[in-house]
Amino acid sequence: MRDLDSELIDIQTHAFRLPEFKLFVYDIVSTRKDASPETMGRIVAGDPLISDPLDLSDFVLAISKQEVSSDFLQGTLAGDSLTFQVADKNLTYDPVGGSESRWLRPGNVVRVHEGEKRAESYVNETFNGTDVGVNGTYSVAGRDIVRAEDVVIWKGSIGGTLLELDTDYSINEFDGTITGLGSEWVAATDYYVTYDAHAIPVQDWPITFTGTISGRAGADERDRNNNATLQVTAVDRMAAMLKITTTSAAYPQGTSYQEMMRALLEDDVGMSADEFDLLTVGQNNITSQVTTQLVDESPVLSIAKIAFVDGFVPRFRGDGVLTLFPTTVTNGPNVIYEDLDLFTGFARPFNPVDGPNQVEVLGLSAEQTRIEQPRQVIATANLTLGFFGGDASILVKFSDDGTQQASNTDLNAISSVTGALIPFGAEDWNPIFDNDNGVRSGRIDVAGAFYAPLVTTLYAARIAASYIPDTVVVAGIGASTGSTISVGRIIEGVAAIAIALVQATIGRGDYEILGCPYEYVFEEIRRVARVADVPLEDRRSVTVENHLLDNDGVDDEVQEVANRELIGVRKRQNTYVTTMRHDLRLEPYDKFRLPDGREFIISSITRTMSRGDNTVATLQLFETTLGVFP
Amino acid sequence: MKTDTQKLVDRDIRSRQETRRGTVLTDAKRVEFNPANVNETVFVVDVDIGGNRPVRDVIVKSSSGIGGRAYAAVGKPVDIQRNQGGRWFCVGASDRTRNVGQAQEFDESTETFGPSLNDGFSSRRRPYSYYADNLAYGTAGYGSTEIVDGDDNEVTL
Repeated sequence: MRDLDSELIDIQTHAFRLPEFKLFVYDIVSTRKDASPETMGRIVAGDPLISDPLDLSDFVLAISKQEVSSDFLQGTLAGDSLTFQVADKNLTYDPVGGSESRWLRPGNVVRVHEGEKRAESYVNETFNGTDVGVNGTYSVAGRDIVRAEDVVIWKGSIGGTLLELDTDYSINEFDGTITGLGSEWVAATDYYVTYDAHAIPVQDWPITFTGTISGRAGADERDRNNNATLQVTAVDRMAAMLKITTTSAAYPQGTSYQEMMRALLEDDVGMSADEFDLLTVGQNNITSQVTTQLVDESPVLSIAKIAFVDGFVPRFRGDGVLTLFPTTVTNGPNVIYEDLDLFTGFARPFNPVDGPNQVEVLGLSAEQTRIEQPRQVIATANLTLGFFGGDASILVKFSDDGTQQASNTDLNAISSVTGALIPFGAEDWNPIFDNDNGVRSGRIDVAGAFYAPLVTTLYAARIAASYIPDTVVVAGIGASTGSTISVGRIIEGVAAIAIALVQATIGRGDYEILGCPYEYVFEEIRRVARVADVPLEDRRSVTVENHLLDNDGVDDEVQEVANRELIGVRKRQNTYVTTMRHDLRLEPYDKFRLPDGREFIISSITRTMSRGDNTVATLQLFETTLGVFP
Repeated sequence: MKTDTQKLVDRDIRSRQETRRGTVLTDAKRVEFNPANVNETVFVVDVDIGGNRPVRDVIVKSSSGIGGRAYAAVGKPVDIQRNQGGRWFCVGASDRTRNVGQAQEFDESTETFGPSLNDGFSSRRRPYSYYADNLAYGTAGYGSTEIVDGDDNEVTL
């Protein structure tokens, strides 16, 4: 809801209002090459060094303005826009070829102030030359002067010397100041000033639009006397923000959501703290165990995602400040009307669209969950043992890059070294625990048997055996054949067999490692809110996924959001249209209550302001009264 | 020449090139969709996306280098995507796993929500220990896919 001067509220709700507007154009495009260019941000932040704007108010024929709310659940982010027609004889302000072409160029800033035309006359207000000083400034008590041409200043006495505007003094209507009394100044002399000032000073009028001119102004020459109109369109800052993308910093666990939004706007978009007001939204901290980053998307979309958690949506106020509007339809009303004087009727438009009756919200657990696969062979290994080797130890990884973890690992020996002719020692499986206590590899340890000394000993025995002489047959039947009886050779042969036996003992081990590979992933939290008793066939679902939603900080936050959004999406289907004498307090998202207790939230406000017209606004609404659903 | 209806259907399919998270239910198996040329093989898995039945024969794209299709091993979370032709394929390992959700029903006359209910299903392979654990056979065969609700009870759809 827009904050208004209490007197203005009183006039617009209880009196016959005389709406008036002021339209100013700031030429910032011309300053782009300056050392300190003037920017939209500096205007919004109220920088006093900004050059004076062009006041086009007297030339504006009409302003058509549209204020729209966003429906973030359904994927829209919207801003305000306006179109105005300027009566411009000779096309002076035409950006294409006009003598003052610099003002209505695309990129320049347009600001609209809205207020009350009602004026009051102040007759013969007195000020003293000594108080004001040479060339001093007299201020008419903070009031703005309606028309400089109507001001009358007498010097000395009422009916004394009549001073002349622009010769003896000048006037700033907006600030309500009379300056430069110059040559007509006399100390200790009284001056009498008569003027008209707005009942509500322009300074107190709310700024209802701040935006930039988009596209190119259209020119329409009306007649042979060079009377012409220019048509100009301007859009608020939302349009610009939706067209740029940023990548935020990576925020660690414990960063508050508000801090994230602030950093996005200040560091990535380059706004000053005066350009946004984040209220108290986003006080909770990021709970996710990994860093959170919003990548390559519009900064307002990032803000919308963060603010969605708390039920808010970003919107640029009329003065160009980014703030957050609540979207929870069950909040209390912003405005309570005691009568229907401002309204001229409510209509319920035909709506053929089948609206959603189910909302699915996908959050993400802040903590990781272990996902274990079925038990399987995760690695294989083999080795060969012989008399020449000792103990063996083989490093086995569960993946080529050594990153796969597994639990309950075990050794399955397909072929064991214990089955060799001369048995070797047993195999052992020893998983290796990494720093994080995970197991990504292990060792198969085989207690070998070092038989080389035995082989050497057997060779020595064989050499020794070679010295054992054989027996020669010298008498009897076989003597004539000259044969010998092997004694030493047999012993030597036995020694050779023993050597061969040891050398032939090869231990062949073939192993597989069994285990359950696992890894850590985040678990999706899926919560659904749906209207009771709606059959499957009639379900119309809308899904929203937001990783900032988890159930780790708030108890079942995801379900709460689903429920909140279901009520919102259902109530939004209770559409209404009303026309009313516009109440400047009202903005999109505001809720008002009528005397009969019915409550409505504003989706959009469309109106055309023209001089002296008692502005009528068309409001798109949805009814939020308890128990009312489509 | 396509009819207007066919064009509308095609457009609808194209607009639904969406991604789902799922859990791999089966080992990657080699299939030949073209019986005339058995060399044209593809690897497919069944994937649980939480519907009333798993998505069958989801093509597993191989990553280059060592590892190949290992990301689509049984039990692993994967992202699957519908291509323009309407066929699903695995696009990679997912950093998160889908879950059977909970729902609350909203009574519009009283504007109150009911208690939490299970919402959706999950598929899993029927363990060989099913009978020993449950002392009943159920409807699915051992080792085949069964559909369970949020409380892990088998459901017949």
